[in-house]
Amino acid sequence: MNEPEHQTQAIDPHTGQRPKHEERQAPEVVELYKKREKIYPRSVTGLFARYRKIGVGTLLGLFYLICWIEVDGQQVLLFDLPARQFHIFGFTFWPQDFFYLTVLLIIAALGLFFVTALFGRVWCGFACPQTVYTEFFLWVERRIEGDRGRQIKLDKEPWGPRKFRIKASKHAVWILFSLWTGFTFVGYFTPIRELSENILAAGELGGWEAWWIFFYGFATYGNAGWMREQVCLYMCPYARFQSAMFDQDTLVIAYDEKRGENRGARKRGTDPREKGLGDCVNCTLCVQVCPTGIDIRDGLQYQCIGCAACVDVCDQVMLKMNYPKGLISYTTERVLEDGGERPRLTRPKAIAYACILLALLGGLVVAVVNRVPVELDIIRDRHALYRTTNIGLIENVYTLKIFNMDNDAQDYRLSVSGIDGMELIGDASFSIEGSGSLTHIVNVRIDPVLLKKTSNTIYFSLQSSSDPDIAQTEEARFLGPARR
Amino acid sequence: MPAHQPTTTPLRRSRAQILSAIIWPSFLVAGAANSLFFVFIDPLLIASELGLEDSSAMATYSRGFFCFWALTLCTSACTHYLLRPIHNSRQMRRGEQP
Repeated sequence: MNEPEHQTQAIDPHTGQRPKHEERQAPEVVELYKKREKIYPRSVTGLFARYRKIGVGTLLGLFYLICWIEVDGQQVLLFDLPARQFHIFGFTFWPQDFFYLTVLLIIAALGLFFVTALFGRVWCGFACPQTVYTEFFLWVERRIEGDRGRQIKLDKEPWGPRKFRIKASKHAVWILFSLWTGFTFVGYFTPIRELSENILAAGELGGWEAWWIFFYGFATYGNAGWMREQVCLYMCPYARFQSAMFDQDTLVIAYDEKRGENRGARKRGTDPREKGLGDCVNCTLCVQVCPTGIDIRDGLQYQCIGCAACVDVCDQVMLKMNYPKGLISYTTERVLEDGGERPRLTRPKAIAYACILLALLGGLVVAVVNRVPVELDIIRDRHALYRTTNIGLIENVYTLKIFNMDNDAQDYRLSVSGIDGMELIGDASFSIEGSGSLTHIVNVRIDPVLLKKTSNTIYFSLQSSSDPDIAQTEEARFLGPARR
Repeated sequence: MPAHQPTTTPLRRSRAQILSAIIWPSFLVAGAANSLFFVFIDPLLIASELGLEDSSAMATYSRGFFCFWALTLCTSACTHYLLRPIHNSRQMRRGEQP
């Protein structure tokens, strides 16, 4: 194995001295960090490229437009953080409703699993914000710098006025678009019309709003302009675990190795079989169009975001060669191996996901429809367990916090029950404006003779006078003197 | 076997991967923690508790988020630090890969 360590310390025959520490052979320098090679995806046309354009256009359009839509003077989608209300298409949700949001997130996650089990990484290739923004940034880059070949050439050129002009204009467009994105993003948390008026009035913009516009803008510019595929490779947890949802019937981008190999160049019209060649002409276009820079012919890899750019470009080559399409195709492992069969969509895994999804969705709809838009929180007075009035009655003090989660004003009636002979002291009728709250202090009194226990359960009931369905009952403790 | 032949493939990660693995999960967890925190706590209430009466809700949410992010960043960074491969000093002197 290795030479004993002391031999490296041997006396030098020429100088008769032991080598100094520095003169010992330095260990081989190993680059600790992998260098990123910039990827220049070639632009591509075809069926899947068209789908992606539609996806990118629709999603960007929705994001930039929805925040401007108002119904009855209310922004239809607004997570109003200062007022602590979430307005979602006519529904108003409160922090107390965060249970619904949690269920909604679980449904979204399960929906993603379901789609992944059936269609593979369509989310990644067509709908993920990272893909959507990167596609748009790539489009800007191609309009300004030209396609792949010209971009590579430009990057190799030494810096000069022309290169500077081209690069500066690209970054200027990127930055403007990113700032608009940041502004739109903040517009979902602070009413966007107010926000834009404040920006136009210059200087009236709150410091934190400005900060978040720049922060989100910077994140957009960095992720879509610079990080790109690295976000998918290093940051995305979904990319790491999506394989758990895959099975042999999941649609994936796959290269038909049996048909393609041996790959190699050939003249058009020659019979590849005579030369011992498969259908792959080794044009490497599939590698050049790949936004994550992989070679799909090496097999399914976690870097593949399923964008199908290689399918589009390879089909065009096959068409030119007069070969059948589909050397690289959007297909399943089972179809590739058994051949001919159509992908199976209905299978236990997919059905199980669908059932859970439907059950959760149904549950959420029922819960939202039956949601009572009033919330009652009761806090017992912390300073005294109970007090005795001058005529000997036992009294407890409660602070009630009532939230009217309805958009309309409501008149409420408060009552208390649980022990016979209890009396409510304080306003039993009050009104709360739409989406408003009220802190209400009430006393509950009782004759100690009627009190059988030290600690009793009582119930506060709140009833809207206009809508019998708006009612809420909460439990509280009523404390009295210790029983002897 | 020659002394300089690496016995295993060296672990090569890009700086971008390491930074992403620290910054991104801590960002997500800080966001979730911040949301959960302010579900139960009114931002204006906590601002006045801390003597920041003039602070807007947006400012309190933002400050809260950055406090959480600072904490989660520390945690992620510690995890990264502790996960570094342990070098055997004898092997290092021989110029071997750990």
